[in-house]
Amino acid sequence: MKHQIIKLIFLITLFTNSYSHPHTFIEVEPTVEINKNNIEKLHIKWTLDEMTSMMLIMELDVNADGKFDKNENNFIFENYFSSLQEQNFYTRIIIENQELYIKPFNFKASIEDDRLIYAFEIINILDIRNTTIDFEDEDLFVGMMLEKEFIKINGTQKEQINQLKKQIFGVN
Amino acid sequence: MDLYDQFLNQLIQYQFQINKLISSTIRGINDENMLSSSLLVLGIAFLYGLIHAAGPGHGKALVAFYFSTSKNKYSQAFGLGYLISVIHAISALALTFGIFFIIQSMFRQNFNYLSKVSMQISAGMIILVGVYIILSSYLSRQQKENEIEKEKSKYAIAFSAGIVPCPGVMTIVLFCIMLKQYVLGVLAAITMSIGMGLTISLVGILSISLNKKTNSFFESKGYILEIIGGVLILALGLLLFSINQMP
Repeated sequence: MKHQIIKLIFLITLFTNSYSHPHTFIEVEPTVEINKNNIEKLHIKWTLDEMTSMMLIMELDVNADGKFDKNENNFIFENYFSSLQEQNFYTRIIIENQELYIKPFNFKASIEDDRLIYAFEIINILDIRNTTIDFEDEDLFVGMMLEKEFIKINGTQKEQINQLKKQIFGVN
Repeated sequence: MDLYDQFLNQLIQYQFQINKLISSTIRGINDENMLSSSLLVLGIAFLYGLIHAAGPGHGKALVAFYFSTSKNKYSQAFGLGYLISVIHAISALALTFGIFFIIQSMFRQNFNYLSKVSMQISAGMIILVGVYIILSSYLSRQQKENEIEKEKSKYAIAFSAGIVPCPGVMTIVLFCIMLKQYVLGVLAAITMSIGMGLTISLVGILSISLNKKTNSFFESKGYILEIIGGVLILALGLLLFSINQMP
């Protein structure tokens, strides 16, 4: 009977909502602007992995000048970035147990050291005491990589920074 | 964070590090270090395949459902695991070279679209395999095991799971193509697939081992287990189909 149960658990674990594993990796660098006890603005920088970057730059830098002009930037926003709305831009902001619907502003695509960069801002007033932020792709197709040193927090005392990184982003 | 999430996070971390290592090694290849760097790339690609296939995937689920509900030898798990990974690699190579040299532009959009189409085809085939296993197990419930029919369903499983090209393999191949390392791209796809095949085979072996320990329960009614396996495979196909609906 014990083996039957193990077998059953084994088979159940194979039924998941995602049948993929990450093929693209994004290093996430969030910068949090704090005023008093509120987050006023979040600046997010995504750096795509080298292989995916090369593939996308080849396709998106139409005039191959190593940078994105206004038209190319608009094209990337409309055809590549906006569609990530379905995944809430891989950003989970939970405020008082409710997930926040993300509306990104000031999107800018650029190229740095052969890596594709997406930068955008989230402008919402969020109470830091009730806010947690996480970055993930539920489908597991993209690996969102967040390290403690990637996070910057402005507008607060230096001694509070580590504690806020843990409290908001859950990093130790 | 539960144990399963921690396991997945750790797998993603490893893959991220390997992904960085493989791209920097390929980019660093020059005339002087050609052989040593190429061998290093192939070694890393094998490891990448091994870890890459350890995450959630329909191939492993299919293999597990099949082997944990029918009588098989351990060697058959290796056979099926490697057959899936060979088809997986061929499919990835054909699609990557095809899109790159034939369509050339809008690679990423074609890549995503064709991946989705192949996933739907795969889901459809998995549904058919599930139905086939259910029907053949039920109809042959009074007979002794029919080896020919079992072989047929094994090939069908390998083809339906393998036809979906692995985007991980495709990314590495494309990266090599863009750096004009064509042979290395093909070899990296093969070694990565060998790594993936090993992981899928190990899942098959684990399933057979569990099945051997639980078989006595269904000793005289083995067909019931096979039907359960068919139902699980059918459910997997339906789930994959619903996940991969076109917008």
